[in-house]
Amino acid sequence: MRATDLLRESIVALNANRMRNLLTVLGVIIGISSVITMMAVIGGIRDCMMKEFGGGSDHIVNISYFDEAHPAQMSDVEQLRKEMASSYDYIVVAQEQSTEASVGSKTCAGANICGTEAKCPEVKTDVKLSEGSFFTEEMVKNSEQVIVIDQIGVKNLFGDDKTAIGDLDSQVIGKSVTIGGAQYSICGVVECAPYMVAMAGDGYAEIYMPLTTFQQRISPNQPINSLYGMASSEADLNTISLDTQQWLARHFGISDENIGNSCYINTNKEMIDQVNGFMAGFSAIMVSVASISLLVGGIGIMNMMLTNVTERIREIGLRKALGACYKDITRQFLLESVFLTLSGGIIGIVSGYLIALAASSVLVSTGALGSMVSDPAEFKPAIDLASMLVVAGVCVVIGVVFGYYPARRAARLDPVEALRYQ
Amino acid sequence: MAQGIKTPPSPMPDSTVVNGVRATLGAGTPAEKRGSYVIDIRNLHRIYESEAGYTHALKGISLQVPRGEFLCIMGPSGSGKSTLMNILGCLDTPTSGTYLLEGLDVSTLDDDELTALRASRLGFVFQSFNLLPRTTVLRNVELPLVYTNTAPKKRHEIARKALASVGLPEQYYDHNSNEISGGQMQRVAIARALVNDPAVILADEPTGNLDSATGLMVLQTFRKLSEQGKTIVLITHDEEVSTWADRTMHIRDGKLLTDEEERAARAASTSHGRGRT
Repeated sequence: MRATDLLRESIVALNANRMRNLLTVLGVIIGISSVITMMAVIGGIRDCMMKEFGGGSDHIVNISYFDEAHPAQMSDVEQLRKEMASSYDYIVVAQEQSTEASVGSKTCAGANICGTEAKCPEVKTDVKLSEGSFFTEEMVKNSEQVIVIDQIGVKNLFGDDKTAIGDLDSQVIGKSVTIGGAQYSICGVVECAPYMVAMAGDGYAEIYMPLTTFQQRISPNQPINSLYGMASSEADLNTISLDTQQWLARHFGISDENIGNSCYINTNKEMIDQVNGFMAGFSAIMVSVASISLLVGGIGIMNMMLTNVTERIREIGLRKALGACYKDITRQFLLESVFLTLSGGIIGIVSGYLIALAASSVLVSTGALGSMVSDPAEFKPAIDLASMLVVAGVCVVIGVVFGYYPARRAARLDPVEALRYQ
Repeated sequence: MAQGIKTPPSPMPDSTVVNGVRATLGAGTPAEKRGSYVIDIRNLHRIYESEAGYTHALKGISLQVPRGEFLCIMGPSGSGKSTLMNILGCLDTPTSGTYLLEGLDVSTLDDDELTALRASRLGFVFQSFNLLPRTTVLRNVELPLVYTNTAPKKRHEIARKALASVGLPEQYYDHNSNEISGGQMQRVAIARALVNDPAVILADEPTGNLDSATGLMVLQTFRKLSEQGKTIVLITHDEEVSTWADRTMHIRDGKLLTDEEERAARAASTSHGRGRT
């Protein structure tokens, strides 16, 4: 029997009982659909995280230090920079204070001022420029009175209720903002995270200014609590957190048991590894559950194929009388079984992805992804071709395995008995 | 007794390779006999084994059917005529005795070879038509050619010619087989039996499920085919049907009877005289 004819016979036979066949593969569809939904959501989260943390930014080390008895000053930071120069390419200081910022009559009562250094955007990945530029090392050295403001601040200080985020960004470059009685010139605008738009009121703005200016004008003698380090390429990312922690302990004379209370250090890589680990574990559980569901689905298919064979005993007898050999019959029924499972798999993949799309809007609006994804609006479920091919392959295997017995039963029928069957 | 061999000493024009199995036909027998008997049965026995014991269905049947003959085998139910038909159609193998189909000894063939033989050299017409239900008339008629791996275009051509020769109007070719009448269905079945140009057409009670008018039409079709030179073996229990054949043989209790034996048997079974009006 030719391949095209074989395909045709199988498809015609399946088509004859469309509704019943659909119900038969429902188990497979549900199993595959749920696996695909979860894999797509996880894939989307991973994509977001890779965008966020990917590239060189897995070398970023976040250092938080707070000890009342041993406050950190710039001199301590300089020493850290010198003594751990092999581990860090550079370390950026960031200090924060909340105060009032105003432009004319408009004020932001609770503007967050962050004094930091020129390389800040490279180590703080949520600082993304939309207009202008960040301040330079030169500006930091000269303690210039420049600021970089975020889009919410722009709206609150320069716009009104009708202004949308991003409208006025290009217009505010060079304009001045009053903070603590002094004038600061805007040299750049940074994007704000979409979820902040909803949360932040009209008294909020995020403002970055040179560290030197901050220490002179906004908050002198404020202890340093957060550092962002860019680990060097030779640095061992697995030990750098511990090494830095031990340096702080020795430098400030804090015992090893207590240092854990005073500082918290982690690398982006550790965070990514943690999430990857969790996702891998979750995937493994999912795959096990899906396998059980596919097994059950496969048994259902085998049952249906056996019924099918019984219903078509006379037809099988006829085919054999007309010249169908053992192989022709087995191939036809095996192919029907494989088509069943494969179509179930394809429907499962498509519906799984659609459910993931629908679910993502729910996940985004409820903020369930908030901790893992910094920009939920960017979240899109993702499933790669390799996974889909694996799913399709598994379906084919199930079709063959559970279709084999019924196909053999059909092929071994005696044509005389079969033709006589009522 | 002629011995059939699979690979003949001289090249045979009518040998087919189906599914890789060489079914060489018309081979082995002495040249002068090759053209004469399509079916040559000698001392055929068929014994069935079941939980109830042994059933001796055929008891030493001998039969020769020359090419082009329209033979009718008549007998009551249980006479073994269906068993004989199944053996003639290579759907069943005899317990003992020989069956030469166009000189080929069928008992030397295995299952796959028998299947190949059925695909290429035999045509079946059943009492209950046995067409594939949700399939078009044309596709039904093509089915034996699908199993001989014939190319689609050639298949269509042959199927159309066969349908034309049984007198089915072209408008029905695309109808599904369950959308046509019983008489039309049986004509489609006859066309199906013709497409592989068989050595013999085997018809098992072809008019059994038809009314007398449609049955008449079917028998006329068989008659026409016989006049075109086709060999036909038809089994029935109906005497009127048997009048259409060239020759009628009677079968009772697994044995073929001569005309006198048949008359005597019939007289014996009706001698009680009851049921007469």
